[in-house]
Amino acid sequence: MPNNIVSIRDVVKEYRLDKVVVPALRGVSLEVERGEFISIAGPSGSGKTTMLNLIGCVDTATRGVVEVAGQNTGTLSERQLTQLRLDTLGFIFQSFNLVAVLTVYQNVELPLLLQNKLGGAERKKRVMELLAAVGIDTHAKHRPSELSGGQRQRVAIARALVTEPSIVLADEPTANLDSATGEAIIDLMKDLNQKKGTTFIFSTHDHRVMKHADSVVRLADGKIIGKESADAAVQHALQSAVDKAPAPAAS
Amino acid sequence: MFSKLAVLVRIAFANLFGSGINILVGVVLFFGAALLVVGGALFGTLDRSLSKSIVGSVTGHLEVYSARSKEKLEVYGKFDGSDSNLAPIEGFSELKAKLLQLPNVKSVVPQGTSGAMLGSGNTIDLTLEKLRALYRNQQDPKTALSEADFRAQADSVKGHVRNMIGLLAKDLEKVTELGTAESVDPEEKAALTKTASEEFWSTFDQEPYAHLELLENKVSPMVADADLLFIRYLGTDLDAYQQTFDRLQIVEGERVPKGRRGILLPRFFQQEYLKLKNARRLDKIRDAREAGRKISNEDDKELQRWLRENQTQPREIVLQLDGIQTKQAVEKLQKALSSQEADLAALLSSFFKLTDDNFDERYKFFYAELAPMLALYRVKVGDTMTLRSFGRSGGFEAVSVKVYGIFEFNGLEKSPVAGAAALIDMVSFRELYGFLTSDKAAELQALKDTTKAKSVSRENAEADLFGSDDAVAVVETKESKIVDLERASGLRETAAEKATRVYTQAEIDNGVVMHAAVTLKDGSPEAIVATRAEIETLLAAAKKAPAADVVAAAQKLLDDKKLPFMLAAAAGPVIDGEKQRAAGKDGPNDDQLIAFKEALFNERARLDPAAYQTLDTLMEGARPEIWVVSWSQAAGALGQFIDVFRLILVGMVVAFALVALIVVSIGVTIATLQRTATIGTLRAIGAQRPFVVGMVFTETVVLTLVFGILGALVGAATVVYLHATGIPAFRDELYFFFSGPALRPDLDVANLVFSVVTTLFVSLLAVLVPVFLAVRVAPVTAMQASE
Repeated sequence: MPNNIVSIRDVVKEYRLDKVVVPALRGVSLEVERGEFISIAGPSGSGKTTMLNLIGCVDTATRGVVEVAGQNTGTLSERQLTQLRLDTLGFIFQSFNLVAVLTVYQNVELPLLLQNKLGGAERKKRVMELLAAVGIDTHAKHRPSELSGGQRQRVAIARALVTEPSIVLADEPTANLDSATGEAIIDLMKDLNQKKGTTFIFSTHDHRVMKHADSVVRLADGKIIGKESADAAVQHALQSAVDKAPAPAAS
Repeated sequence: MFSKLAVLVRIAFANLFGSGINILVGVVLFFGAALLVVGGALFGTLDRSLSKSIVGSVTGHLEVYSARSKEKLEVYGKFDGSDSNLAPIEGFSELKAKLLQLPNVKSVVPQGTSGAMLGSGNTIDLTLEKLRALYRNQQDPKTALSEADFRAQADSVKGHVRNMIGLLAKDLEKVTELGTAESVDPEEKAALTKTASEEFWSTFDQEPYAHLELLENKVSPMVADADLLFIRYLGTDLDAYQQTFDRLQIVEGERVPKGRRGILLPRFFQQEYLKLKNARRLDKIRDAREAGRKISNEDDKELQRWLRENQTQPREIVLQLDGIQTKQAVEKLQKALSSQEADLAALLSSFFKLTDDNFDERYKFFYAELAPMLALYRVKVGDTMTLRSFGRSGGFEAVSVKVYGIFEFNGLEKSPVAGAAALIDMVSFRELYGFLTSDKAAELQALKDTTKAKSVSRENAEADLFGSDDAVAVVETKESKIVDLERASGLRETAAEKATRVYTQAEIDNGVVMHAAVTLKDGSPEAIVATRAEIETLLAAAKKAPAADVVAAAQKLLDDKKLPFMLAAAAGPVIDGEKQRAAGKDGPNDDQLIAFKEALFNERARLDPAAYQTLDTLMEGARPEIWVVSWSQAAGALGQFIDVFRLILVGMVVAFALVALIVVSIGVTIATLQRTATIGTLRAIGAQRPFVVGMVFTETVVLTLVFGILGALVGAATVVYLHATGIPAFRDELYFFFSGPALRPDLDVANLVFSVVTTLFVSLLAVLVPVFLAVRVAPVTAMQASE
């Protein structure tokens, strides 16, 4: 089994707006190893979400190769891509994306029902264990609308992990949360990463989140400008913030 | 599979009340399903009720009539009120015997429909007849009254006649005032002047019959209250009819004894046309009040008209009462009205000033105090009435028949349609219709025997009449049994002999019959169709083999496109059917043949003679001797109401389907667009496209089933309620359609299922657009979503 769970090589992604071609990624390459807890950082418009979309098989590259769990996504049919998402990937969305009309339990159970691999009892056990692991088991019968933002994201994490995917992708998972809750969510993801060995790839531009990552891939203008340790990345982020801050007014 | 379905159903139920759009769509489906159930039950019951009325009162389940008829049978008459031009059924008794062999045929009742004029006589005629009887009886010691009694009664009746003459004189004065001198007939004026004079009446007893003659010949024709009524009648084997149509009940009098001549009058006709008009109006006002209408409501034009006419037209009552009765009536009215008025007409006008408060009391008073002095009906049970009609041979026929009873059809008491036709015996019908009855045939034979007349045929008439030296009287014979028997008048049996003679079943059956009702043991729609086919097959056996050259010529006309469109459309199945028949299979059915005959008749002017001849020969070769048609076809325009009901029902379903299609389509599209993020998320986390399709369909099915079933149940509850309370026949005409005083729609499980299935089908059709949109939602949409 190759150790790289994700392999991106010379990937270009362009969007077409009427007659204008807008490049989102300009020839990026990246290798992610199994069990990594990796952050993709960069300012808005740098290509973070595009890269996650390509890894998440919800979009395909214009050029280049994207391999997920050993499969070249560019060669897969729409149906195979969907199956790959169901079996290999878990998603945590910035806006949680829970199904509003289902309860917490039902939301988490949903991917298992789509997979249709486990019996009812096993499903229930798996779901309840995960809800307990993310600390939301007491709210199993609640609807998402009855939960706080942090609680909803915990549900989303449980849903992403319930099929025991190889990779969990999280797009700005703390963007809609306050800093304390955001940190708690990242701690939870880190904890699950360490316990289950699941690869986590998350995008963020928040240095408080970034510092928890094993490594940080920094993007700017659709290009990877470096892959570095979390501490280094945090320093970069802080320096960048200082550089961008307006100069103090002369007294 | 099931787990996926479970999640789909879960999402569908969870979404059911999740959006206003779903509720809006649901409400439309709810009302649509309810409407289909209620509408289906209403029109279905109307359909069955009307068929029950028609089948149960006239047509039976099937009707048979001669295929040589020029027109289609319409037992209730044609749209213009005239009768269908039918040829008589030849050999009815053989036909009847043949049909009765079929296992499902219960009875075959001979019939013929036509109309006649009925002169009801006027009031002065009746009074003069009373006076004549008094003088006649007085001459016979057995019937003579004491002098005092005779004088009192004769004076009273004479006073009555003088009273009427006085009214006529007043009328004449008014005419003179309003018109010119020419508008008054001098002879009428002279007769009135003479009969109003003291001299006329003082010399009455010297020559009573001469005086009566003057009154009868000169004065009586001036009274215009004699109506010449038109009455439709159904000539039939009354005994068989009464046994077959058991809804018929005699409400007054008795059944016509088996084999006797006689007439039964419908109660509706008796009430509407034979009853004293003032009394009839009072009845109508009572019925209107019972239906909740108020005399005080001046906008109720019909009610106000009855009230006004009763006040302004008391003459019919005044004319009926003789001197003694007038005095009694005046006294009673004076007391009841606390009035000193001495004039009966004025008192009656006051009496008929009705209000909601005094109506019940006056209605009771009228029937308790005044009605016993009046002849409430112009024709009574036991009377002999004379019907006059133009027979088929163009001669004028008059037949006197005894009124045995008044009938009505159970549940159709107030229906003008069911109550329009009297029932008359078959022998009298044949006489009125101008056919040779067994009596007349015998009379004719007797005449020929006594005069030694020789029969000559039309073809040999000239030779027989002029080419021979034999000086014998001749009587023309016709191939047709239709004989103008006016020429044979004077040879008939006396009225008394006719009235008492009992006709045998053979005499009833063996004459001419215009059509016949066939009632079935199993009268279900399927059994009617099956038995009709059996009868067609039975009667088709007598057909000759198709002429191959005629069929080929007709086919050529069709192939060469020489026939107008409608005729070609009708001819095609007949030509094919004849080819089949030539091959030993079933030939064209009666519906196809009747349609072809009708089309050929309608298009005859546009066809060249040779083509017409070919098609006519084809028709003549293909048709049976007797048509058999369903009750709805036999009912003509009335039967077509069934088609109208069905059309309305179909229209309702189509209208609902269109509305539902639009609303569901728009509603589910909006709901789908509102849930793009959810669909994107489902796709992102691994839901395949079929799952999304299933989600939209399942939601629609759940939405439709929940609201559709609820709507169907509410509709069912409404039908149950309407069945219990009944929809009253608020107009008399509706009695026939409702087959009774109220329509009680029946709940039909098939109707419930149909409404839900239709709703579901339309909804599923309507979600095709939203499904298309839903499967196009890309998983990447989830990444762009915000809560």
